[in-house]
Amino acid sequence: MWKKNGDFWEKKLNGVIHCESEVSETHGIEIESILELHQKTFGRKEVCQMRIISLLAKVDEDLCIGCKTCEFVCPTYAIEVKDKMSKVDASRCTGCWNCENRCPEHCISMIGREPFIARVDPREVDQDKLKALCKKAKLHPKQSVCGCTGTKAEEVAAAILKGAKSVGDIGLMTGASTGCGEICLQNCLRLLEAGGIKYKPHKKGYQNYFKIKTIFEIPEEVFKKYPKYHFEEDKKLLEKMIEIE
Amino acid sequence: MTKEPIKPRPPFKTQYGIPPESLKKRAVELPGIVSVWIRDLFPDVPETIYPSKEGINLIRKETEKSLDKIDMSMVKSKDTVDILAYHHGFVLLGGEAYAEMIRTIKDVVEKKTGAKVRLKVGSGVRFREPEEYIKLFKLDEYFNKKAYGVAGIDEGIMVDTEIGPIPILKRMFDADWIIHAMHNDPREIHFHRQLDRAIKPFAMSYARVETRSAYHQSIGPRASNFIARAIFDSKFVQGKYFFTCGLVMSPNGIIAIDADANLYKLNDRLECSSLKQYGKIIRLFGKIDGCIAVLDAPCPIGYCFAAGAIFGNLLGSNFDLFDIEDVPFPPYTFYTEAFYDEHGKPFIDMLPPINPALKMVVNNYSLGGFTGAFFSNAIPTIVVGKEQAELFRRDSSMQVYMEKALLADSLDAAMDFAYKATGTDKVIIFDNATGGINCSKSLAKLFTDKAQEISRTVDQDLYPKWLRQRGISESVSSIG
Repeated sequence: MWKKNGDFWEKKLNGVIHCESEVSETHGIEIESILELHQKTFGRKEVCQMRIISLLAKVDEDLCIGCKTCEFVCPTYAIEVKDKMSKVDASRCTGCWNCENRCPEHCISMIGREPFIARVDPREVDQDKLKALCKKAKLHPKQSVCGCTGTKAEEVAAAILKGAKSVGDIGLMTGASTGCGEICLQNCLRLLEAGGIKYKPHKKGYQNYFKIKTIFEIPEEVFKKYPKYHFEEDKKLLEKMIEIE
Repeated sequence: MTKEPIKPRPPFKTQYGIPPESLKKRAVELPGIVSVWIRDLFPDVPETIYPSKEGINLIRKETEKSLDKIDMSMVKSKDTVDILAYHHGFVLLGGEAYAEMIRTIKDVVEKKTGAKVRLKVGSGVRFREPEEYIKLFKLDEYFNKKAYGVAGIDEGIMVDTEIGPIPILKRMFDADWIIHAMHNDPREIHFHRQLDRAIKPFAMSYARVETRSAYHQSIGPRASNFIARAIFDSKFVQGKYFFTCGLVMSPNGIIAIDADANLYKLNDRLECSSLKQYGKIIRLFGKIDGCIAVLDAPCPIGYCFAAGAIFGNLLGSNFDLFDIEDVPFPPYTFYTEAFYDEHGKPFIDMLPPINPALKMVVNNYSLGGFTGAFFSNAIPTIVVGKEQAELFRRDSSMQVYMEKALLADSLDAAMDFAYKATGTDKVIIFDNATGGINCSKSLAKLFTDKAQEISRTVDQDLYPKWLRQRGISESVSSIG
């Protein structure tokens, strides 16, 4: 049961996750769960291929020491240390848990928020440009590039055509790379590179997100040196898969 | 040849799982569940050193023995030495054996060299998991507070490799010397294909997130560990590599400790052992003609164990996962799951089908923090309990998993539904039980009936083929 505590709603969940809700639209309505929060906000409709952002990082200012660890690991640059205190920009936070997971002082918790949807409709961009971008990245437009959200290559391509310039932008617009924050990164980087966005080392922070050579870029002599990896055959197989209409 | 079910280890408190008291019923408590023991299925499986009558002391003894042959003369007392470990090891058999091996390595190296040894534990995508294990096994005390959890999103450094620069984790490689503390439990055969398995952590737990992504997405379904090789072979890593020491696993438990300064030689021995020990279990899974899988362990969904094999292996055991010539793509791997639509159907014809014997999954207990969308999208899934459902909905990597799963109030309700919907009474339980498989009587009978045939096929035909495909001579002695 949610209980009002000052400006926030509080709920203890079995002592493991302590959540506070700041959901303006649902003040005064008792919420038992994230499911209820989603249903209240979006109604009962099918949810797929979109990321519902329903959690927000909250910093306990009594515990924060301003070490910047959170700032350095946030994929969307939503958290910044100002005057030795971490501040969260709610409009950029995707509730990915990175900051909570790395804060050495355990002063960050994930609270409920007014949910929003991260999704780009690929039909809203020039289809020839979208297909060309996916082809250059050696990805099939319909293949999912993010194992956590199911976001497709065409969605990420559309986000890039609409102005996404970084992994963080892609995350905010499509939800990709805001789940585990790991498996889909190279797919996003390949699409960014195909979109002409060059890698720039990040001056502070750990969000460097470096694109590594793919099977399509590794030199032939490496293929020949390691026959047991079946590079040549798999390269042909992957090329065949991405060409299928 | 069936016995009483093997009691699973109790749940433990972790931020990635439901509170232990929320778990109302374990799958072994279901009616009709028995166990069938590995030793009864495959009598040639080696004796284990753990579990054993001597308990954890034998792990220490065998680790000390294996380290006898390691030349440590190059390490000076003022040098920094780090043991690199990773969270998977603490999942094996409750984790105490891996922890004891690590403690023993520290003691031996400090005694022989005078150098102080630190511990760095890498994670998967549950970034605080190493810290939980460090506390649980009191490794922070043992290492005098110099035991650290390291996550893939932590600071990286670039290392020059055969295929250009690749980012690894700075904190993993900031000592003068590194010791690779590993185990050869196969886990995701579908990802690494049992090709250079011993080197895998160099591109995963010891590497940045972008490198792990490349491992899974960029290099082809048979060459993932090439990234690991490229990193390990780099001048930077070779300049500080000391030796490797590892738990040698079997479906029955730990059969040996092996150490070597030459990781590739050790890898070949471990490959032989893994192919021999686990090849039979995986091929036995391939004989299942229909089942309900119940997940009931403190592991993420793909990584709950039965008979030493993870649930993820079951998705592809309708094919020979160890065959790297005729099976380029396992049915489940990130390359194949990418080509499934939002209704759980492949949209291209080339993909090998997910194991049709897997009719339904009942998730009674598992951890979050896993790229879960595909599992419930492709396989009918029931999650048991509101607390578990809420945990997954709050988890940024499991939200879509939960959107596609049904929710049951209790395990009994879930199983009633599963039996009716699937028409099968065969149940296999992935609860990390050691020494045997908890399953239904009907499945136990199938395993018992097929084991001898499988054993013959693997020993005579498949094992020699698998070795040849990996360029490993049959004269390389397998451990166990």
